[in-house]
This record gives sequence, C-alpha cells and structure tokens, in this order.
Amino acid sequence: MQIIKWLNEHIEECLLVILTSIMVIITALQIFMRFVLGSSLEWSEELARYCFIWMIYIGISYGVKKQRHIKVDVLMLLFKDKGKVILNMIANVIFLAFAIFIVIYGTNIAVQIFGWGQTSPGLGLPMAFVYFATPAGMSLTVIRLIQQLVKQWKFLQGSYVDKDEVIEDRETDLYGAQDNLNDRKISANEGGR
Amino acid sequence: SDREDDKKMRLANATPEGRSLSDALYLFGDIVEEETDGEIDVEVYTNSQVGGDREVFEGMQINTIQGATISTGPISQFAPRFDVLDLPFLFPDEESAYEVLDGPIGEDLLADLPDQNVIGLNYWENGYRTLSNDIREIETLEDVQGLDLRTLESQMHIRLWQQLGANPTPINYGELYLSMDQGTVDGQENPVGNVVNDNFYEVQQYITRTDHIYNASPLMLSKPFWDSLTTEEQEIISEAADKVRDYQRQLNREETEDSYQYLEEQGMTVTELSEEEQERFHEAVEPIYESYEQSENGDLMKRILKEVESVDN
Amino acid sequence: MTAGVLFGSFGLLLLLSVPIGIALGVASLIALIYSGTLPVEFIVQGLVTSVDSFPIMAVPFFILAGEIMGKGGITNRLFNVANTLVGNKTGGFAIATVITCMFFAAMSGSGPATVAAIGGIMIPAMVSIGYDKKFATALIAAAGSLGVILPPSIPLIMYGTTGGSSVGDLFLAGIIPGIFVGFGLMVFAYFYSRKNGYHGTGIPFDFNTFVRASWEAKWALFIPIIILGGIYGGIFTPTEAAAVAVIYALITGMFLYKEIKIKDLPKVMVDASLTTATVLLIVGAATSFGILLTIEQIPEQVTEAMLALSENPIIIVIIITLLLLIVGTFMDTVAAIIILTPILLPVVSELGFDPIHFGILMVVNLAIGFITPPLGVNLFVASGISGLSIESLSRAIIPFFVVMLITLLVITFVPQLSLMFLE
Ligand code: NA
Ligand code: NA
Repeated sequence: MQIIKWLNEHIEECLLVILTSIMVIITALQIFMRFVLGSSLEWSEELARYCFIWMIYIGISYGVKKQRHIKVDVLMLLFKDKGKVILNMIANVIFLAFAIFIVIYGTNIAVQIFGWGQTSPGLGLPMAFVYFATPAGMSLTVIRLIQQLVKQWKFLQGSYVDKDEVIEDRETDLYGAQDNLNDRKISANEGGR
Repeated sequence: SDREDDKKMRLANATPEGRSLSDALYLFGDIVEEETDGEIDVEVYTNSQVGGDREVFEGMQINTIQGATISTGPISQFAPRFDVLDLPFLFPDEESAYEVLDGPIGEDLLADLPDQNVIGLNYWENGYRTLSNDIREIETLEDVQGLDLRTLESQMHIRLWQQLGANPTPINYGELYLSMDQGTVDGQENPVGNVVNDNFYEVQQYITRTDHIYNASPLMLSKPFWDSLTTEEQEIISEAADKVRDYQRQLNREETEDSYQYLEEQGMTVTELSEEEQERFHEAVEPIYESYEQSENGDLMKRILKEVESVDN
Repeated sequence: MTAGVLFGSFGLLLLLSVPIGIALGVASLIALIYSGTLPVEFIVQGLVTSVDSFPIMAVPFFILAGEIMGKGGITNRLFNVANTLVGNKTGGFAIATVITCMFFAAMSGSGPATVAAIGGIMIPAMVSIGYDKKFATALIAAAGSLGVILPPSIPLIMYGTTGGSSVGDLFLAGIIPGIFVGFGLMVFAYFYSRKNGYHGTGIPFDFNTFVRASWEAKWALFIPIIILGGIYGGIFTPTEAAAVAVIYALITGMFLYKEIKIKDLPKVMVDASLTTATVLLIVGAATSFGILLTIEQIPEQVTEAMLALSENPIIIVIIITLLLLIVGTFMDTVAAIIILTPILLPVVSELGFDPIHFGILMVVNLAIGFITPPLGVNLFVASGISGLSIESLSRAIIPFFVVMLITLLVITFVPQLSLMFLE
C-alpha cells in the first residue's frame, strides 16, 4: 500500500527528473565530444530525442494531475463553481475518451512495430520502445483523469473537496509562476536587509 | 471517382515537388488509375506532406499509406540486409547498379520486405551522393583530411568518412543549413538535388562529384493493400512500375546533370575526381569491405561485387 | 465539407475548455472518420513522429534554463547594472526595469518566465520608492513579452520548425524588433514618470560603479553571449546552445552565486518538463490536423479568399494583424503559431513577404496577446505577483497595449528592422 501511495504521488515526477537529466547530459556530451575531442557519437542525438518523447507523454499525465493543460476558458468565466465543475467534467470525459483511443491504437501500433523488429539507426534500439511512450503515458493519463473525475463527482455530490482541486485555476499558476514567486519574495526580502 | 468499393491508394515520398522521384510517382499513379478504369483511386503526397521516410515506411506497414519510394539507407532500419547497398563505391556506374538491382540479387533483397508487411516492386533511384564543403576544392584524398562533415547517423556512413580522413558529425538535417552557414560543420554529403532544393549552395562553395554511394529508391507497396488486389490489378501495377522505373532513371540522370550546371551558374566550383584519385578513394575504404566480409552480409557483398565485375568486363 | 467538420468540432471543443492539444486530436479524429481520407492510425503515429525532432528539443532546454536562471539569483545583479546606467534619470527605475527585462529576455525563451523572474523583485522595489503599483505591474507584464521577441524565443523555434524557416535566422531577426519594442516601452515609461513626478535616485552616474555592477553580474551577462555567440560562432546548433544554457545556468546558480542547491533541481526539472509537455501535446496533435488542412487544401483556399478580399498587400496584412490580435487575445501563443503558420504563411508568401519577417510579425503580434485579457498569460503572472486584480490590471495595461501596437505597425511596414542582419 505504501508503495502504491508513493507511486501515486511521485511516479511522474521521478520519471521526468530522470529523463530530463539524461537529455541535458547527453546533449552536452555531444557538444563536448565534437568540439573538444573532435570525434562524434552517432547515438547521442537519438537517445536524447527518445528520452524527450517519453518525457512529453509522462509530462502529459503530470499535466492532468497538476491541472495545467493549455486551454481556452472563455466559457468558464460565465459559470459559478458548480457550473465550472460540470463543464470541466465534460472536458475531462472527452479527454478521457481520446486518451483511451490512443492507448488502444498506440499499443496496437507499438506491438506491431515490435514484431517487425525495426531498430533505430544510431543505437540499434527497437523502435517499439519509442512508440510505447504514447500508450504508456496515456495510460497514466487515463488514471489521472479518472481520479480527477471522481473528485469532481464527489464535489457535485456535496462531499467536501478542496475547490482548487476540482476547478482548474490554471491562470495564476501558469509556468509555475506562483512557486517561483514564493521563492522570490523570500529572496527579495533577504536582498532588502 | 467516388464509388464506394473503390480501392484507395495513397502514394507518398519525402522528395520535393519537381524532382524526378516525385514526377514519376504522379505518372505511376495516373497510369494505375487509368489502366484500372478508376477501380483504384490514387492520391499522391510528395515532399514529406504525410511524413518523412521512416513515417512513410511505417505507414505502409500499418496500411495508412499504400505505396512509396524510399532510399535504401532508411529501409535498412527495417530490413537490415539493404545496408549492403550503402557500401561506398559499390557501383562504379549506374549501369552496373541497374544490372545488379534489376537481377536476382535485387529481387533477393526485395524478398526481405514481406516480413515487414511491405512488398517491394523494383528500384527507382535518388542518384549518387556527392560531397560539398565551404573550405577548399576537393581534388585529392588529402583535401578531405580534417573536414568537419555532417553525415547520417549510420555506422557505415560514419566509417566511410573516417576512412577518408574527415571528421564525420551527425547533425540533424533540419539544423544543417544553419550549421554550415555558421561553420559548425564545413560540409555535407547528399545527392546533388538536395544541394539545389535546400539552397545549400548559398552556404557552400565547393562540390566534388565523389559519387561515393549510389542511392537506389525502391518502389514499395503496403502488403495488406497488395493482398487486397485482384491478380489483374497486381499485374497492371507491376507493369506500370517497370515502365515508370525506366522513365524515372532517365529523368533523374538528366536532372543530376542539370543540377550541377545550375550549381555552377550559382557560383559553386564543381570538381570531378581524376581517375587516379578515384582509385585512391576506393583503396582508402578497403578496410570497410574487409570487415564487412566478416559480417552476416559478407556473402551477399561478394555476390554483388562479382556481378559488378562481370558487368564491367 | 471536411474542413467544416474539422473547424466546427475544433471550435466546439475549445469552447468546452478541452485542452487545445486534445481538441486538435479529437477534431482530426472526427474529420478523418467523416471523410475517410486517411485511416485514424495516422493520428497515433503522428503523436510520436511529430515530436521526434531535435530542433524542438530546444524548447525544454530553454524552459529549463529559464527556470534555473530565475531561481539562480541573477535578477538582482542585472538590475544593478541597469540602475547604475539610468537610475538617476526621471523614471530611471522604470527604465532600468525594462532594461533588466531585456537582459533577461536575451536569456529566456518565454514571456511569462521573464515576468515571473523580474516581477517578484522589481514590483515591490518600484512601489517602495513611490511608483504606482498598477503602473509598475503593467510595465512588467508588458516588458515581459520581450522574452519571446528577443532571442532565444520558444515561439520563434515553433514558427521555424512549423514553417520550415531557419531558427538561427529568426533569432537574428528578432534582435532589433525586440530592442525597438523595449525602447518604445522605455519612452512611454519616461513620459509617464515625468508627468507623475517619479524622479531618479539623484545619485550621479559613476563609471566605476557601473563597471563594478557589470563585473558583479558578469556570469549572468555572459549567458546571451554564450547562446548567441555559440550559435553564430559556429560552435553549436540552436538546440545545443539551449542545452549549454542549462549547464551554464546551473554552474552559475549553484557554484558562482550559490543561490540554487542540488535539492532544488528536481522541482525545477519537473516544472520545466510539465510546461514542455503541455506545449508539445499541442505540437503532437497539430501534425495530423495540419496534414488534414494540407490534404483539404485549406491554405490554398484561405489564400484565395484573402486575395479575393483585396489585392492590396497592406490591407491584407492589416487583416492578418487583426486576426492575430484577436487570436492572441484568446489563445496560447505557441498553439496559435502551430495552427496558423501553415494557413497564413502561404498567403503572405504570395504577397512577397519574407517568411522570416512574417515570423517576427507573428511573434510580436502574439506577444501583445500576452497582455490582453481574457487570456493574457503575462497579466495572470503579474497579477499573481502583485496581488492586483485582473480587472484593475487590465485598465492599467491599456497605454502599454497602445505603445506595443504602434511598435508592431512600424515593425510590419519596415521589414529592414527584422532583416538587417540577414543578407
Ligand atoms: Na528571449
Ligand atoms: Na491575450
């Protein structure tokens, strides 16, 4: 249970940190090899790119968890809390349907590509690993969407759920500005002393 | 024609409009449509409109795309034996390439494709790869020494340029123009048409007709699509493919000469290697052949070399 | 008709506040099922192949570098340089703020990141010496949009990869327009300050102080030199430059300024990849959408329709500008670029516009969208920092909007501003 709870909290974060680190290190290594050592790696760009693809699809799931996907919310402005939640639920159901579609078709394609045995030119890695990024990330996304919908349903039923958790209030938190801000206020005060 | 039971055939490539591979694909589509009385409804998407080489090949595997021409280099990612055709200086001239590819060896290679859910019909061509750079005129093997050269992310290509003394660097094709402009790399190697189409001549002064690798571009079809056709339709398609192949090769060779002429008009220095120098280039890559002989493909390589030799004599 | 289904369902889904990327994917799916042009597997394949691109990898790197730089303590030092230069003049603090934004913009590829990094320090600082809070906040929101006009710029990378233009050329082309917009904001800040009696520090300009401040900020000031110098000096590609920026920002923030610690890094990386993923979901889904547009020949139809409206390039450009301003009001910058570039680029090419110049126009246009409600990301961030309501901020932003509009017109009709560094 402990493990599941920890995974539920941190799985995306953990993967995102690993993938981002590899991307940065490998790309820097590529420049170093070419510029300093004068000899290039034939697999570096490829590995960085494949980590990038995985990062995107894991990040999409995390975006659902953190409610940070980019949307146009003109209609949102017209509704009060309950209306906002209902509208949000409709959007989430559409997202869910699309995610399930991607999981099914994506798995299908990845399995076929695995069977045909296509390999990447630099690393010789089975290309299916790259193609599994979409169904894997979207499977996580499906879980996150269902969690979200359950919370929203409970809110509509009147059980206590923190309003911020069910209504996407992306506006003040876009690009992590709120977090940056908190850090910065402290450092600004320090600077003032 | 919009009849319900029409078979839709989407043909694709990653070649710009106006190049012989694209013109020929349109022609092939027209012939198929006409000869099948519109039973097969053809649509042609050139210039990576529906994806690059890899996407298009995968498209044929999952039958979202029914047919395409793709260079043998990218195909070897799917069917590794095609790798043999990227051996440097394998075909001394187009005739010997045609002889090998249109004969039993070419057929043998195409027979690897059904395992990939793809049918290979025959070989069209993208032509010889050639070397451009912005540092100096390449007249001798020594001139290649130390050039920072963009290559494909492929063992064979990287080895080739190492053997010739250059520093091969895989750089993304999308960043290649800028990289040459800014001097991140000194040069690149591709069929001459790329130098024209992607305006590389604006940032490259010298081009040498190294003709180091002959790029064949097989015409392939999606296997599920092929299997859905009647025998009669299959025959029509095969015949059209052969007819267009000969036309395309002719057109491509004219296009190559026109390209070099155009590049000269644009102020590039176009260089031919002397016969002695050609010989030295060939000798320099000999170790690649030696190690390739030990690989799984060694016998295939020997068969090709033997065939080429018999053509030359 | 397929076009109708495609755009109709896309619009409806957007109204339902479905994420833009998902709306693009679902609309393409519906249109594919309706028309049967291509099998639906096409969308799934596109989700992988369209983001399998090295040039696009510059996006996560620049976002990450921006986050690290924001937290790494370079803002104070940049401001000190700007302040020693102009602090003693009327409106000196406001002008120094714009200059700080320009410095920071030359390192960050994102508008909101610039606002977040500068606003947290500069708004309280400006208010403490008597500036109106609304003015200070609006100024930062507007100057923050320089983040995407001055290179490096994430929207310019997106425009380059979508429209097939050189990202390096676009970066070069953005320099003068970015400085020009910044200059416009400074001129306005000066006159506003003069009218309202915001005087300078009174400390006369001292060359030694300026040199000392610059020396203090040297590691930060090096970043744009490394990014642009590296690209144009032939050391690395734009994508590699972005990775170098990350490493450099890390070294500066961790070892030289010692303001960011290893334990802060995971959060920074997670935040950066989150932003990246939300943007790139749109890229992934837009590919099939774009291919459908091509197959349905929408760009040709739009071009024809536009040219039927008028033969006069000026009128068409004004129509496009209005369209972009309206879109920028409602839609995210990157999403707008990915969706509109394939539609509008053929129109302006027909009119003889340089694609690089048009890229700059598009980005300046959409940068204005950062400060226009209802969806003005810079406004949101600035409002979050200052605690001012969006409503009062929306009023305070109007003069800045006008200033940016004027600079936009100049940039539109004087292409040399954008193209002077390109041959
Ligand atoms: Na910038
Ligand atoms: Na806006």
